[in-house]
Amino acid sequence: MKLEQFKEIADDQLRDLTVDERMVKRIHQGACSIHVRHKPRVPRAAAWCAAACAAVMVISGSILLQSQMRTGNIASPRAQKDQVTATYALQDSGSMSMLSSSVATSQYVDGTTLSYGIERIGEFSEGYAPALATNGLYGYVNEDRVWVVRAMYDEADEVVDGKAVVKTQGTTSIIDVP
Amino acid sequence: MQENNIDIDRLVRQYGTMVLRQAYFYLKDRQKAEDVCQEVFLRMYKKQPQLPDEQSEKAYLLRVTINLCKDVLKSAWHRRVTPMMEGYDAPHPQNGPEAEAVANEEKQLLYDAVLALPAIYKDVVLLFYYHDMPTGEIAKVLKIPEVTVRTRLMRARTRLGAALKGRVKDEA
Repeated sequence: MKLEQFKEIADDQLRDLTVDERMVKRIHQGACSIHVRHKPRVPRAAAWCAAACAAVMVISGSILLQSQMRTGNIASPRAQKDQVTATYALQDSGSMSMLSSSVATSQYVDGTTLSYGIERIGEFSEGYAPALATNGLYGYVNEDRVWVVRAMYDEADEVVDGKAVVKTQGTTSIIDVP
Repeated sequence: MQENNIDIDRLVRQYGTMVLRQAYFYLKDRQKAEDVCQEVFLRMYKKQPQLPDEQSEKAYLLRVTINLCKDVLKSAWHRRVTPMMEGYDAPHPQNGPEAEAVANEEKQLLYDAVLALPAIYKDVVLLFYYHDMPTGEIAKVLKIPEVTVRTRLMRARTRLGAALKGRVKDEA
């Protein structure tokens, strides 16, 4: 028996193991969800301004370094009420991520204070967004930037129908959010 | 579906079975292999790598597949949860007359021996003998020197020879 025969043997062993239409559809649907998720959700004017000025942004006639700006001029409904100051980063995809905020970022939904804060917030859906904590793990926050799911996952996807796909130690799970 | 330079449907149809089987060689579980297969193509779609030709596409997909499989094998969940009927979904060759049965048994022994190799040897054996890759290309996929690929191939052959000694007519 020659090792050169391995290909023939393996193909025979795995002859039923092929990608069928079900798998093609499954991967296609996954790619579609990525396509939707990567669409920029910030106002065009803000995205254009951030892209043109790179790290320097001109907001209301004044120049602010490191993309620092008032969120009231950008997207957050909360900021319009509270005039919260936040620092944003423009991602390659065109979407904006909040790097830091003047609101308390370690607050858990039950009122307790967690040992970590928000480092970056993803895109909101159904009122919640995956957020990267300062401990390097992901959880979920609501639109008030309050943790509703503690940061304990390696990866966290957007919320769909009150559920989200999360990954920890290579294991994928579906959790309820909040 | 196409965005920029990635035609995900074409890639899945062209390389899907290759990726699925490669994942199965490592994970020996169809469901896990399908999960890895999906993850491989979605990562490619997210990253949008610049791959000028089919050889680059194949090398990229195999590299990602191998790395993802190793991640799965390292995970605590995989180590804790073992399939109830391992190998249950693996198709087996039909048994025929006695001579054919012996030949099939020898093939099965070789197949099992290759899949039982330590990962560093299995990597090179699969890429060389199953995917027909030259050693230079294997070196790029695994990001190791070409001479290391050749050494590992030689050691893998030695190990297989020892494992199959006396069990098959003509050792690997």
